Amino acid sequence: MADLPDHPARAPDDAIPERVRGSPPGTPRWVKVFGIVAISVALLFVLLLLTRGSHGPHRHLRRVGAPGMAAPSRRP
Amino acid sequence: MMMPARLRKFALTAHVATSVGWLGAAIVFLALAVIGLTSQDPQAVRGAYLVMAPAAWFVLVPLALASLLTGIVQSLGTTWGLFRHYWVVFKLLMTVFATVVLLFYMETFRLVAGVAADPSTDLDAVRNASPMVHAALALLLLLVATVLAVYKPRGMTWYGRRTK
Repeated sequence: MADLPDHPARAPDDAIPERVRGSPPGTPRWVKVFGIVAISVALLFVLLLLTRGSHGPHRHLRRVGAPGMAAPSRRP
Repeated sequence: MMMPARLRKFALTAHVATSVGWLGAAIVFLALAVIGLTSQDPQAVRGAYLVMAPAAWFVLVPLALASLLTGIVQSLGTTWGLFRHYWVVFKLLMTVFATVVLLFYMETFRLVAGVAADPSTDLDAVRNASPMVHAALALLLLLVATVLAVYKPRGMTWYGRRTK
């Protein structure tokens, strides 16, 4: 998840934390974009849940319970 | 608690190996899902869905949990911290989200395998787009996480600025 160079002389600038290289104040633009995308995806998912019903394992199967459907095995 | 350099290297190696391994496993699952959807060979179609559940238990789940665990260790053992930098926080959230969805999805793998195991089930009923959609989304998420880990975009959280 995070790594630090143990040899600063070989380290690229982007491998050094802000407290070493200086942090710009405020929230960076990429964080805002990430946040907007994450909230949009979450809202889309909620909208799909509301319009299409619950999103459980059985939703992923076609014609569950239809004739010819096997009883699923309990083993992984 | 800062880890000594050797231990940090070992932890980083473990984290990269498990994370990239998870990414590779997601690609394999995407390939299996495409085979299941498009192959004209009935045995290949059924086999693709049958192998997903055990392969997920033996590969996807351990790699996901190992990636999450080694990532947390790596963050806490270095000055990056777990909640100091936005990229670490986003990566953590994405990894937790992907792992939780995977664990819930194991039931779907089991059900899909059950359908594929029944020889009387029509092949069109065996084919299922869900594994492909989920594998593609997982791959996208893991690729974004990899990009974050490599580029480490700037930006400290409120907590990070306070504890600087």
